[in-house]
Order: sequence, then C-alpha cells, then structure tokens
Amino acid sequence: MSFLRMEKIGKAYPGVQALQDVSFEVQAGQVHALVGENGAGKSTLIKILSGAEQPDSGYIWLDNRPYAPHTPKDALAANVATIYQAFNLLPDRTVAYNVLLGREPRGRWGLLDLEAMRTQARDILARLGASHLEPDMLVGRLKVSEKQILEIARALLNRSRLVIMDEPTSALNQTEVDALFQIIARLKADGVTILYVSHRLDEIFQLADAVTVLRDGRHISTQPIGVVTHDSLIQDMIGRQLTGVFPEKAQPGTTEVLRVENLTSENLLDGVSFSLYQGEVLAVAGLSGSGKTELGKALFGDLPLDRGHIWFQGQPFRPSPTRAIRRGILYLPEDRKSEGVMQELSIRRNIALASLDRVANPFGFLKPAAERDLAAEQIRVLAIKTPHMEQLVLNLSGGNQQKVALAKCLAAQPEVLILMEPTQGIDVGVKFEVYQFITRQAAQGRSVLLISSELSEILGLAHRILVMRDGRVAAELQADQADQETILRYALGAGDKSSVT
Amino acid sequence: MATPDQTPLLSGQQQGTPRRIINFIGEQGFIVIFILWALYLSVSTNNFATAQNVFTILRQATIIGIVAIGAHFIILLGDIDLSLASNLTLSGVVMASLMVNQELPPLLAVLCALGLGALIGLVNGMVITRLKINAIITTLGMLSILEGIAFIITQGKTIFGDAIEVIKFLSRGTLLDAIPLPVIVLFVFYAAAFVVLGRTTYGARVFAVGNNSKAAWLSGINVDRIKVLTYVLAGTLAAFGGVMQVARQGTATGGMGSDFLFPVLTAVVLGGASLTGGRGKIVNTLIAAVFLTTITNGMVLLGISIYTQRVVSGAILIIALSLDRLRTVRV
Amino acid sequence: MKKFWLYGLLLLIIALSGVVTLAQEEMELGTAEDLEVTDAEIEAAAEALGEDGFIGIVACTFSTEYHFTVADSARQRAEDLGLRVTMVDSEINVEKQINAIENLTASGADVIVICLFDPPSVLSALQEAADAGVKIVQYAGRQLADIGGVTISIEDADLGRAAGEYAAQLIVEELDGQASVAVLDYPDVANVVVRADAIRAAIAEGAPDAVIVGSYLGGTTENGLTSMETALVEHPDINVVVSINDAGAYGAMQALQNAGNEDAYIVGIDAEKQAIELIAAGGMYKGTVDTSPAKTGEMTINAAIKLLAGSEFPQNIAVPVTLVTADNVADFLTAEPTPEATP
Repeated sequence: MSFLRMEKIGKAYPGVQALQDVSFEVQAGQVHALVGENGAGKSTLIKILSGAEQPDSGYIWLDNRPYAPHTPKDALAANVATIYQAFNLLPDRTVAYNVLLGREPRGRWGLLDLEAMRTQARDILARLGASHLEPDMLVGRLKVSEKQILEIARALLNRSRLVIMDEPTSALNQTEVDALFQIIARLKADGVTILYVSHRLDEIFQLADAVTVLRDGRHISTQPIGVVTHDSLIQDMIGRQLTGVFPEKAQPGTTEVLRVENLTSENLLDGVSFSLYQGEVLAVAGLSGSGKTELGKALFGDLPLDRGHIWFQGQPFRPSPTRAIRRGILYLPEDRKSEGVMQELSIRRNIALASLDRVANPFGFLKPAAERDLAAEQIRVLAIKTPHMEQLVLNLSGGNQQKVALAKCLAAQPEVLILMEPTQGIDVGVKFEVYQFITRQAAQGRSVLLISSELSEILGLAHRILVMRDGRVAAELQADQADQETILRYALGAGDKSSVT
Repeated sequence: MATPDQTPLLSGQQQGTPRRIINFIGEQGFIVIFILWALYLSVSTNNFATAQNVFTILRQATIIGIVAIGAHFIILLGDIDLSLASNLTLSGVVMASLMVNQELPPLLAVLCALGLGALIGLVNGMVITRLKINAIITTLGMLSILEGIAFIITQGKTIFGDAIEVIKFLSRGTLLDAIPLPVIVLFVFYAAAFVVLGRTTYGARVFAVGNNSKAAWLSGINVDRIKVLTYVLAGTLAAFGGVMQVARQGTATGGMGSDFLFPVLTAVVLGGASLTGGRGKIVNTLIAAVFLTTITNGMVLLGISIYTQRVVSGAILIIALSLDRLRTVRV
Repeated sequence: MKKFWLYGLLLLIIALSGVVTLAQEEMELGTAEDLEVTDAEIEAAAEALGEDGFIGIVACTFSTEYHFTVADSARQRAEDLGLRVTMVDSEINVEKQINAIENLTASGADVIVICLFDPPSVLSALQEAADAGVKIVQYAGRQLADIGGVTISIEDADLGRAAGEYAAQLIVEELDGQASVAVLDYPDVANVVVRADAIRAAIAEGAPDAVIVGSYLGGTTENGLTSMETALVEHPDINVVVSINDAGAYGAMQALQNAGNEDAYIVGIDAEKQAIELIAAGGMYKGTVDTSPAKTGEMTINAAIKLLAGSEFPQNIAVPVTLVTADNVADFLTAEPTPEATP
C-alpha cells in the first residue's frame, strides 16, 4: 500500500524549473532512497515535503489523505519529520531539553518536570541503542553523529510516520554510519517510513527497499532495489551510458619522485615511510583517525612534524605550502569550501592563485591576458560549467567548485598531486570526471597521492594502496591483488601484520 | 550556475532591474548621499561649487586620504591598524624636531620620518605575525606607545621654526599656478594604490589573504610576509601623512594626529570595505575621504553653529551608512 | 584616541556642555599675595605629610603647553620644597580622571591638586575624597566652593574679555571700527565656551560696528587651519581673528597667509612661546593673553602648603591676567624662558 504518493509536482524558481511533473509512490514501512545529481531537484522535493516550500502544481497524498503543508509546523503536525544536514539543536542546552523541545512534560504549576524529562529522554535514546548519551549532557559537546541521533530521537517522540533524511552520513565515519544504519533498521521495524537521500550508492544498496532517481527536475525511475545495479542507477542519474565507472589505468614509471622516511608527528603519525613513483597513483586508505588525512597535510606543511625525512626528486624537502608549490607539489584540501577555493573571488583569480608569479612580469605586475589564458585553458580542460570566468566561486555548485580547486593545482604545473577526498560531496557526473582527471594526470607522468575514504575509488584508480591505522602504515598492497575486504581488514587491525612490505 | 539546490538568491544574473538598482544604492549608498549633499550645497550656498572651494576640500582631504590608503590595505587583509594616526603624529614630530633642533637637511629629515613610519609598521607586522597577537591589541598598544614618545619629545609644546618653511611647498605649492600640489599628490597616490591592488601579484595576494587566509596559505602565499609588507606600507604612508601635516600647519604638536584616527577609519568603512577583509574598492575610500571633508566644509558654508555641526555630521554619516542595509535586507 | 571616544560619545558631550555652562556667581577673589608662604608653613606642611603622605596632581591633559606647564611647575615647586608629589594625566577623559581621584585617595594623598575639564562628572568623586579627609585644590576652574576646596584660577571670562577688548581696540584704532571678525571656539571644553562668549561680548561692546561673521571650530592648529580655509571661501574679507587659544590661531594664520591675506589681525590666548615670537616678529599676530601657567602651578602648591599648615587664606584666588602685545613682548621673551623641546 502506498503511504506517500506524489502526483505531477512542479516547482519553478526564477530562471530554473526545479521540478516538473514529478510523480512517484513510497510504500509504507520501507526505506525509500532518493538519488540524483546536484541540481536534480532532490532538495526542492524535500523542502516541499517538509513544508518549507510550496509546489506550483501537483498533489501529495499522505496515508490516503491530501497533504499540503504550508509551514514546517504543518509537516510536524502530520507526523512528517525532516533531518537536515545542519541541525536545529540548541548547543547550550542539555540532551533531554533538546530531545523534548516543544513537548516538555509539565509538573505542578506548569513548571518543567525535570525528572520526567530525563526519564523520557533516556527511554527514547535507549530505544535507539544510544544509551551512552546521558540526558544531562550539553549538546554543544556532542559529536555530529550523536547530534544526528538526537534529531532522530526527536522525530520518534513526535510519533513520526515519515522521516526524511538528507545526506545523513556525509559527516560520519564508518563506525558511526554502521550505528546509524542500525537505528534506521529499528525505525523500520517500528513501522516508520523513511525517505533517504544520499550520494553514496553503496549505502543505498545496503539500506533501501526501493530507489527513485531524479534528473534535471524530472522523475526518471522508481524501482525495487533488487532490479537495479550500480551501473544502471548511475546511468539513470547522469542520463548516459557508462562504459565502466573507472577509466583504464596507465602503467606507472619506475623513477622515484617522492620518498618519505619515518614521518612522525605527535599522536598523529608514527614512523610513516613510503615511496611515490612517476606516473603512479598511490592511494592511502584508512578509517577516520587512522592518520591518512594527517599524512597528506604533513607532506604539504599543514601539520608540524617531529621527525622524519622527505626527498623530492632526490633532493631533501622540508614541507611548507610555498616551498611545495614552487617545486611542483600541489595539494587539494579536504575542506573545499573553506580551504580549497576563495568563495568571494572570481574563477579566474582562483585558478591563477597558486601561479601568480607565472602570469606576472618580473616586477610583480600582473599580465591580465596571461591570467585569462591560464584560466580559460583550465576551464576548458576540466569542463567547468560557468557562463564566464569572472563568476564568483560561491555561485558554483559543489562539483564545479571542486573542479576550480583542481584547476588551481593543475595550473601550477604539478609534478605531484596530493588529493584529499577529491570526490567527497560531489555528484556522480562530476565524480566520474574527477576519476578521469586523476587517471589522465598519471598517464601524463604526474604522480598522485590519493587520500580517500571510498574504497571503490581507491581500488578503481590506484596502482598501489597504503592502508593506515593508528598513524602507521598497516599494509602496502598492489591494487590488482586487493579487494575491499582486505583493505578493511588491515584498516580495522584484523589483518596479518607479517604481510607489511 | 546556481540552482535551487543551492541558493538561488546569490547569482546576479537571475535578478531583475529593481534588485540591481537597490544593490547599487546599497553598495555605493554613500555616493548617492554625497551627490545629494553636494547638490544641496551648490544650490544653497554661493561658494560651494567654485574652483577655490573644491580645491580647498581636496587639499583638506589629502592627509586623511593618504593615511586611509594604508588603512584600506590593512582592512583588506581583515586586520585593523589603530596606530596610524599616532604614527603620523610621531613621524611628524620627529621630522620637525630633527629639522628645528638638530638642523638636519630637510630631505634627510623627511627620509628619517618615512623610515620611522616604516619601522613602526614593521614592528606592528612582526608582533602580529610572529607573536600571533591580535591586530587590535597590538596596534592599540602601539598607539599608546607612539603618543607617549611624541609627548616626551614635545613636552606638550609646539615645535616650530624657520627650518620647517622649506617643506611648506608640499602643502602650498601649485602646479601651473592653479592645481594645489597636495591634490596632485593625493591623486597620484590613489592611482598608484589602484594599480598595486588590481594589477600586481602583491595586490592579488592581499585580496586572497583577506578573503581566506588559510586557503591563501595553502595556495603557496606567504601570508605573514604579505601582512608585514602591508603594515610597513601603511606605516610609511602614515608617516608621509605626518610630513604633509607638518608642511600644512607649519608646526608639529604631540596631539596633531589624534584628529585623524576616526576620519581615516570612517573613510574606509564608509567606502564599503568589509571589516572582515577581502572586499573593498580603493576608489570608494578616496570618494569617502572627500565626502567626509565636504560634510564639514558644507556646514561651515551653510553657517551651521559649531554646537550643532557634530549632530548634523553624525546624522549624515548614519544615513549614508544605513543605506548599506538595503543590500542585506531581502525584499 | 581621546578624540575617538569624544566623537563616539557625541550626544553625551553635547548634553554635558549644556549642563556645565551654568551661570557662575560673583565671588570675592583673593590674589597671588594671599598665597605667599613662610618657612614655618613649609615646615608644618612637610610634617603634616609625614612618612607616607604626598600631594597628588591631576592634570587635564599633558598635550597642550598650558596644561603641561601648570602641572609641571607645580611638581617642580613641590620638589624644590622637598614635598613628595605624584602627577597623573587625565587625558581629557572623565573615566580616567575619576580613577585617578580614587586611586590617589586610596594611596593616601593628603592634597589633590586638580584640573577639572568636566566638573559635574567628577564632583561626586571629589566629594568622596574630601569626605575621606583629602584637601582639594582646584586650578583652571571654580567649581569646588561647595565642597570646601580651594580654587586657583584664571577667570576664563577675564581671559576672553582681555583678548576681545584688545581686538576691539585694534579695530577701533587701526581699522576705523570696521572689521569682519572670525572667532575660533572649541565647544568640547565647557570652560572655553565662557571664553568665547566673553570674546564676542567684548568685541560687540568695544567695536560695535565690527561684524562677527562666524564662530568656527578651533582649539588645535589643524582645526583652526581647516575652519579658516573654509570660512575664507565664504567670507574672503575676514581681517580679524580672535581665538580661544594660540594653537588654533596658528592654523588661522596659516590659512590667511595661504590666501594671501597678510594684513589681518590675530589675537590668541595662552601666551605660548611661538605666539610670543610671532608677536615679537611683528607680523599679523598682534596679541595673546598670558594665562601664567607657571605662576598658576606655583600658586597651587602654595595653597596646598597653607592647607597642610592650617593657615587662614581666601578660598577662591584669581591668577593675574596679562595681555602680551608688541609693547611689552620683550619682557616675555626673556622673563619666562621655556626649556627647549628636545627629543
């Protein structure tokens, strides 16, 4: 029986038809995944369902009754809860207060019944398997994953029958993701229907009962999970045939470009050694906290080192961003929005930023034509979608911002690229382009250090894989001899240590 | 392209004409008020729109304007320098004292003043970048130190003497017997600042650091060096303001800079430079400096009592600044 | 810095300057002779100070010559007589002055010699000090009669009148009574308003045919310069400038010179060294009124000694006002050699 039914939903913003004739059904008690590229209309649809926006046309039926929320409050009254990426929690209040916000138990004379609040909060958290969260803890001190649990607890208390989750795992590590999935399983067992929006296809196959694909504001398909495949979903999302997600790898060279010995930074890195060869993609895998992020930062000078040596092209190298860029080591930061690009500068200036001396005369005067040429070439090579290069970066989608960050690296004529989570939070189409970019760079003789949490892309792109755990290299694997299970085993510490080469 | 998935209000391409007019007024609001004020003065007074008065205004705006260039650069970095006005005082006092009491050749005394200003900027920059002390605290402390030293030198007295006559041409000279030299200096300095900000790698790096210093650093920009350089530049400009001020008033006193701190920062902020850094147009700072001078000029011409002048000037400033709100209020 | 706050507290200042221009009553005034001290009084004063006692001097500001000289000669006089003394600068900042009074009281001052630039705001702090047994000597103002303090002051009205009368005399004698007069004012300091009013009144009385074209912001050289430049645009015929102090008058002189108007007459107040030299040089700077800062400083310490020794003397004492013109400027060139300003 369909629990939620949408019929010919349309919504236009100035200049953009965000949704057009979208109709699909969600079955009661199921986890229903909603996927699509950025701009496909997912967020607009969520806003309509949660009452934050009203559709221009179409009808929604919830449990066989018309459903047309005008405010988020209406949606809550209809037992529809939405859990956004940014939380609506009060950081200075306690767990109990936040969970029970709006339905606090009252005691005599209308005062808050603090004891009842604690008990109710404790009960609901226990139901979610999160008994470690004490009712009196301050929310501001909690981890992202724990805040998410509070949001879910709040939804449960509201007796929500439909819970909408927007990219719930984007800020979580693997353990936290597993915990969230267990909670989702419990919700489902309680008969709650879940609309689950995510970029991560692996999760969808693990969780969902059915999946709906949106593309360019239109409904493309709604199918039971059993009849779709990874490739067919991607095909639906980007609207074209894929000949395998990962491009063919080229043969790496044998010249050692970068040699790292005994890199140590207090509590973060513990004697890391490896070599990187010309034309090679070397991936670094590991759980969060394993030191893989810190390794990338340390090589670029963004993390102080206590001990260790680095040789670049046979010469000793002391990391700092200025020195690294001068010698051809470029770095793509993990936090694209706050470290990778300058939001309020133009695309042109962002691309030229690491190469300013090369578009200026010896006296430091910029040559505008040279800067424009440099930017134009990168915009073309990376297919950055923008009307013109003077556009401010903040007007670009996440994927295009990432391309600008990559363009900045590429414009600086790199020998080595250190790429931190290069596909995090970007949609499938751009992801595919980034894969091609990485493979192409390696084929052209550049060396890539790929630091990633996505095992599929590590396996698909890398020649060799370093698996890190507790700040050390737990294993070095040849990609063609590794699989996800092996990597995870080493990352979790279950692997055989004698195999470390 | 912005899509509804992102934030549709951010893209300029999708907005209608009214929105764009409001944006313009919001960004350049003080210019609108400036024009209205100038029009009003042209109509209600006989002497506002005369060459003599316009040159008087520009001459009076010269020193504020020159010091404001340095303040503008530092605000672009997202910092603030409260010591510029007292740097002006000390450099002017030291120069006058060297000329009058030590009988140093004028050129040498001017160079000493500029060197001192640069040194003060260097100390500010080093303390802020090396010791990681907040710019407001550092320059506030520096302000106090510099005023104190200026006071020790002057002992509360005015430094004056014939030796100062030699540099008075900086303030009183004219080109072709018509255009005052300080006005030419003002425009040359602003033209140079415009080129430096827009057309040099240094200018590009200043904007980058102000926009996002972590990202700038990760792009290979030596953030500390850019900051120190900028403080040195601003210090030198403030010292040059001190030279110009001594040339203008023919004397040096321990309090001669204190009238500049407020107008200099007001000019930069009124010109629309963002206090968080990374955003600001140098031309607007120049226009704002001239506007500030025109407010006082106009009130004298209108014969407004000095007891009410401050109220009027405060009101004009608030109106000019509040137009800025139009930009952030969504319609 | 202080300007910054002054601007920021715009409305407050305007409100206060309204409050403090309250009319002052006529009072019996003693003279400098009443403050002559004997060796016995000095000895008694030293005894009264004892082991830890001292005289605290709270200046209005150190950044004008007049105020610095008063405070510094008071300090000098006390030290010459072997009396312990501490000097504090209020930087024309009410908060700083109140703190200074409280700190001095707490640290055991026997006498506070103070300059008040904003009397109503600090009177209660002074009352507390007086209640705690601290004797108060006020200079450059007369607001302390009610709380039993001694006041030693040039009368601002006397100063303004002297400058205004001399300007009127020049207008009548040199300009046949016809002139366009600009007055340089500085309304930030309440006492100065009294001066400016007296200047205007004296000119209106002594040279009734002269026109006062306006009152402009002076006080500092830069203000005097800027105001006069602008005033000359509107009134190019200005030929007499009377300023509430010399510093502002220098700026006016610059502006007049720049405008090629070398025949104007300028009269200032304070008898600063530069003003005296300008008068001696015989240019357009015609006169200044000596506020006798060094004398004032000495008188404050004399009063402190008499208070400590328990002697009888008038509560309110006037500092002599002297007009300096080309006729008597020679006395001032030698009489009061100001130490060279050296780095």
